[in-house]
Amino acid sequence: MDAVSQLQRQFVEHATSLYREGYLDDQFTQLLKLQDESNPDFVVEVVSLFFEDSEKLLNNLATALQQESIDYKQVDAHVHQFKGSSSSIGAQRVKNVCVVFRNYCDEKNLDGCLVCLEQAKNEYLLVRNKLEALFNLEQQILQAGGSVPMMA
Amino acid sequence: MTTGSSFGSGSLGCKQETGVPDQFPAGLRVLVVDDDVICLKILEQMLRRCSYHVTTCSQATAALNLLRERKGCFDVVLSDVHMPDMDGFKLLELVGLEMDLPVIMMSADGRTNLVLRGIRHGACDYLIKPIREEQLKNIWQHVIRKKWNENKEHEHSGSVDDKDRHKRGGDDNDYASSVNEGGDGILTSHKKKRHNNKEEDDGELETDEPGGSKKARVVWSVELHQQFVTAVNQLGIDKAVPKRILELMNVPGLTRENVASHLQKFRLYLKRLSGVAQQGGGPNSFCGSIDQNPKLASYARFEIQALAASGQIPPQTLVALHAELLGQPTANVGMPVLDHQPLMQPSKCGPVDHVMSYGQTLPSNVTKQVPQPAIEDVHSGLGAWHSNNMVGGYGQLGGQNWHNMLLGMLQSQSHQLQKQSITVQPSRLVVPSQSSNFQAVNNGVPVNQTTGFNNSTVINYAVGQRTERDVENQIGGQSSVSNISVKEMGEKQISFGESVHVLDQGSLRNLGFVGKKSSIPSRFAVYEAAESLTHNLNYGDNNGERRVKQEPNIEFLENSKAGAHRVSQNDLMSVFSD
Repeated sequence: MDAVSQLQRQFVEHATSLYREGYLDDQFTQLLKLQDESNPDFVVEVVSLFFEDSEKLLNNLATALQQESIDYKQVDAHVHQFKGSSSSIGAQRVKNVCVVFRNYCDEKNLDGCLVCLEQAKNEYLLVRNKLEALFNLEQQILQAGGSVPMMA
Repeated sequence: MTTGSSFGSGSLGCKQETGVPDQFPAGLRVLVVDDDVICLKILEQMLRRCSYHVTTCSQATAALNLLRERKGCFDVVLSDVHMPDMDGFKLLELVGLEMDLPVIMMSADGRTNLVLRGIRHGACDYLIKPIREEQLKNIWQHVIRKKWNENKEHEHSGSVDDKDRHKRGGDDNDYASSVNEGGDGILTSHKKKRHNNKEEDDGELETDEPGGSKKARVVWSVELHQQFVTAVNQLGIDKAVPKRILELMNVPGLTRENVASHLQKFRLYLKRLSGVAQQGGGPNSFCGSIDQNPKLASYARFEIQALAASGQIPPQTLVALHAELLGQPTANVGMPVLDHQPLMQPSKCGPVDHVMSYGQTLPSNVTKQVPQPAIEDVHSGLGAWHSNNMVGGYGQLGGQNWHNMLLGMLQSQSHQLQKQSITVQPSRLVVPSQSSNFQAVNNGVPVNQTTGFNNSTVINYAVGQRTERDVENQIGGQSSVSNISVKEMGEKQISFGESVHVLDQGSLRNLGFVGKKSSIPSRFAVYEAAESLTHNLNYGDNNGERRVKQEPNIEFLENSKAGAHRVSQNDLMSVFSD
């Protein structure tokens, strides 16, 4: 099954690059391990939840930072949440931005916060695209009758 | 799953109201509370894979309702710290109080101060997100531990005579029975299990309740405390979390909560030490406490003199002690009783502060960083302190503690003091022994052990790490240390003169007490003379806890709610009272 092998290879390459480039970390691998027969769509479900949650958080952050009088505690709460969820699924780069973001919140540094917000958005979009691509490949493999390679 | 309450895979029905599920740990009933739905989902899956029954809630209030409606249906609660509808710590407290379930906190924020808060509020453990499956596999241990501890308490509850007599809810109750036991004795606490809450200390009147309440108090004996300190030392004060400490200590029946509360106090103690060391502080509080007990004061004087004579106590400490004992407001007291004036240098307020702080709750002095060296000193001091006296109650703040410390110091210090860098650490009288590793002495107060000092009182100082391994009771050449069994006295009095039995662990060692047979005989004489006094020494029930009681009589023991237990605990604990 050439098609399948090819897809599988692509899958592995893609996945590997995600780790290598720091988009994903070991926590993502943990998630993969959690998926089993009783919960076969676990990873996709969790990641979808993450996407939804992230978009909400990013919107909230944008709103909060646009206020005349900014409530940094609130901003910090959102960032904290974002940090928690991104770290839970292994979205490392997003999490890293959140760490820096929180520092700016502590300092009440608006410019810093705005920069971080942009970065967070970008990183989020990047990882989302990459994960979507990965899932796509996975789907294709399965549809072609192949099995999805296990990630180390 | 993400709505208020989702009943996860677990059966809604309660399997058992009591005890542990059948195929423990499989089937452990876990309630997870987290407003982050992603985390919630992940945790649920992880817990399911551990064969646990999982119920998830994304709102704390819903979780609380669920717990209330279905009491006995859950074994353990996992809760996030940051939640919009209720603070995780608040939930933690409520669950602990109302349902007495082990609660494990989680957060992406692992800062020490937060972890400490968690501990203070009674968390069994504190996990830092992202959480891995392996971490969850082990949570069942908290359930078991808690249950065992409660059972143990129930067993003991019947045996103690004066259970009933708790004056104050204090945790410390008693000591008792274990006097002669080795490390285990420590855990015999017949009374309720100590909750981390201070409230218990303050207000409850624990009237026995043998079987009733589940809150038994753990008596932090010298050995236990020593083990604690060792564990904390190994982990590093900043990294020491109750769970690990508990594992390292490996004491059956000891719960994470016990360790957590002890740790909390210990940390406070450390902070106080470092904080106090820098501040002049007012000795007043300590001083006041002694007023009430003239006998103690005079006894203390003897001690001070003895100590002073031995030259082992750093001037500052002595000053503090003295001030304390005499109820003098400042460290500058002239120390009338002391013959050795030079030793008592009135100038330092530092020691006094320490004294005070020791017994008291440390309010603001507490700094976050506890300098290691300070700790060490302290520990050593504590060690000595602890082992030395189990005086019935460390009466009001400080007073008794000091007394105890003095006694302890006398015993041990003769040789040791010189070697230590004596920094007057707030409550720890410098301990002669070279316990450099003291570290966590603060916490717990092993107090229950009384070292027989000339057959008399043994003051248990919180023992930090004892470096000296040979515990020989220097006191009067006695090699045994008697544990003060508070209960014997009826009201938690430390029975001095109880059969002395050696502190095996060398708790004395650390204190520097023992091992030196060459203790100064004359000192002992002092003690002997004062022995009768010591009987009444009630070192306050709380060393520093809020409840300092100022009772006019010398019955320290009465004052101290906890009797021996209190003593130690108070001493150390007072530091911790927060």
